[in-house]
Amino acid sequence: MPATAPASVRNAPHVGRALRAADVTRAEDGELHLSGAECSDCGTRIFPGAPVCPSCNGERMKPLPLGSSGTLYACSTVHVAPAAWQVPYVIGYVDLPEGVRVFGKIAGTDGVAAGLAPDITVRVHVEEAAVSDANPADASPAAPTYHYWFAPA
Amino acid sequence: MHANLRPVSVIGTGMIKFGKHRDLTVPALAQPAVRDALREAKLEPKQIEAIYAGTATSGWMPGQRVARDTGMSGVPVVNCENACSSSATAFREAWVAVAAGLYDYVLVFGVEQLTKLGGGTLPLDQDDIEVSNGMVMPALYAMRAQRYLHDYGATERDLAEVAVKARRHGALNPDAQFRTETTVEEVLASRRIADPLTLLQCCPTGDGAAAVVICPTERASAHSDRPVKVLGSHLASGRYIPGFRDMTTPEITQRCSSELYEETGLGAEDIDVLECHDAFTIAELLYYEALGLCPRGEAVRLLRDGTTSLGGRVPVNPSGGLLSKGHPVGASGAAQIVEIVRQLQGRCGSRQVEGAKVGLTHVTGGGTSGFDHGACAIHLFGV
Repeated sequence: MPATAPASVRNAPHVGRALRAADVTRAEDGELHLSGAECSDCGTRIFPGAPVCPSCNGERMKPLPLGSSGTLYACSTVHVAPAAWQVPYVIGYVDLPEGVRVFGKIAGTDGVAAGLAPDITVRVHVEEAAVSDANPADASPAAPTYHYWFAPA
Repeated sequence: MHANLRPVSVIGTGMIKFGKHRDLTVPALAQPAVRDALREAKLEPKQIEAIYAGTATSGWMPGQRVARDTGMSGVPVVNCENACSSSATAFREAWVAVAAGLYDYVLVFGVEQLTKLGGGTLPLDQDDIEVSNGMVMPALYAMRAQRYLHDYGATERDLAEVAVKARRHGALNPDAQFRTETTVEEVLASRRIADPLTLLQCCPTGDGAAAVVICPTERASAHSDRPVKVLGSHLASGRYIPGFRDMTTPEITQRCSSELYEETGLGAEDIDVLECHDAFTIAELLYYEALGLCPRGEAVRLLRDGTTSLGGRVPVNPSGGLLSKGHPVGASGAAQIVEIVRQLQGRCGSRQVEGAKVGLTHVTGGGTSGFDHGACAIHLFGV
């Protein structure tokens, strides 16, 4: 069963930008994972994916399924942000085994109190966005959207 | 390097006191700085042949709006937006034009009115994947800070000491937004902004303007008793680096400064005074290393032993820097140049760096995913 985003993550008009179907993939066990892209020409790996490689401008990009756990590079609890965001919230960079660094929200409202620190292991959660959660600019009824967040493993 | 270019000098400077000037318009902010720079250069407005304006949030044609109100309308105006590097970029473009022989007398100014945005964090591009997931500028620097403390054993008190130094210097600068000193305890006890950064470790919201006039060095002595030479100018843009990168290495600053040092034959050891982009406390420490003042991981030592304080070997941000002087983003690059030029002219009173012969200005800017920063402009000046 996919986890449901905790309140600390669901605290904005949209839980981060809603991802497109191409940005996620469902593994054999039924779990949703993030999916980036890899350049067939130069090997550059990115998330989110793009039709053109930002390193070599090549157009032969192939999907790159990403693992569901990674290493926290750095994080911060944000106390001042634009009005649309409910503070405090926690954000951070997570390094995935595929060589891709992903930025996103982390569950909780106080990273210091939660013991979040560089190099700890965190899990990547992905879920289908309820329509009401999706960024209205991105969502359409016909295409499901997704969002992701991190939590300590 | 640049054998075909003419030597260029700064002959006039002007700036207004940085602070909250909500009741003024953008042209009204810029006018006093522009007038002072012209007066100092002993030039009439009609002698200015081109204007290069730097600003990030002032709307369309800010240069023309200022020219209209200062007797300079009609000349070519170039408006430069490069985030916090806007007016440093404008200065570089003006330098290129004068050095290439296109014009003799050129005005550069930077202006910004951040109070009209309402305060808080700067509005960033909502299409950016990180911004749309909650990134704000203080948090970007906060994560660098967390990682730097983790990797090099520095402490939150070390970060706070940067703010204490900035305010100590700013207290001596009549044009600074903050003119009171502070303590490590006060800095650490101030409001949390993005952990580990507290309020007094973040540059303030403010408005300001700064201006300079440049001309070919061969004409400079007719306009100034103490003209200051532009020894070098370099502009770099963010390099997109996907994947894992060391976010405590300011890649764009390292690249921009090493290219400039190579072009000019000068090095960090030649610099007597510098202004760097201390938008947040951690930034100043990272830039000591990126600009070559010390090896990786040793910035705290430089701060602790007083090397970078007034009276030390290479004072950094004698103006108070962005943390104390203030950071009206588009004005900051020009204001740094005003400070360094005046330092090299020996005009800085109680914050004067005695005998300074070579000075550097460094400004970066722009929060975009995959970049260290979007832009970086570094200039070297000398007498």
